[in-house]
Amino acid sequence: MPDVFLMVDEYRKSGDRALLGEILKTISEDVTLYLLGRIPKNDVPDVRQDILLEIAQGLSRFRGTTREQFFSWCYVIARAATANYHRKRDRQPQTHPDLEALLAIVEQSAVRSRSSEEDIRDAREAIELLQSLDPECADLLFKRYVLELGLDEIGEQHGITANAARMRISRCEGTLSDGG
Amino acid sequence: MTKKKIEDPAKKLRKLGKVLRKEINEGLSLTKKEMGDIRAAIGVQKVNYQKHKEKDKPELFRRRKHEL
Repeated sequence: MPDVFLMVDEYRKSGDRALLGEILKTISEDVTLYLLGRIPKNDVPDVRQDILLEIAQGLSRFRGTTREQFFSWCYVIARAATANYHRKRDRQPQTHPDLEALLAIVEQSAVRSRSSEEDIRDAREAIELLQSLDPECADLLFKRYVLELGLDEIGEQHGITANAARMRISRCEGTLSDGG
Repeated sequence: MTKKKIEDPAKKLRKLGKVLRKEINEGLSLTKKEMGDIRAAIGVQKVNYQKHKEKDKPELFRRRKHEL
């Protein structure tokens, strides 16, 4: 997979629209992953299209210097689009992923044998462990390990320092390995 | 309630990401049509409006023509 941040950097210098198309294609998987469990699966393509367009229109104004900052910026746009989606339907925004919806996707993967048995087992256990945590911990661990955001970016999204984010994540993990 | 002790939670969460990404690639990835609509909207490829009847125009254009 091409390094998306190098592509972003190149686009900012050259303004090459074809490259912009490639960037959007490359990040679409990550944007979709963010949306799963936050909006119904059938509406994902529509909302994703809005998000990708918003990213395309704002990319020349993005000033970040790392891959993590870029994805964090993309997820801020995705979060706003998700909130907008729910507002239009007079529903409360789904701030944390719906774990039952994610479990359904994992089960679908199991039925279709798209992932190995070990991966499916681990994915089920991951959902189980997220369900056992309080919502803030589940959200932190989801961002860190599933969306693969950096500590700086997680801290920024939660209004805390990177060090505080690291400590909170570590505490959340601690509650799991202590056995409660 | 006592939580079940879970070995290496980070590894399991990464596996969840892996399984979800695989599902996205199999059934939820960006289609060529969607990508074409986006490319047209950002000006990478031109759409001949005269060639298309209003009803045949990509959804994105019907919704967004005025915004772009």
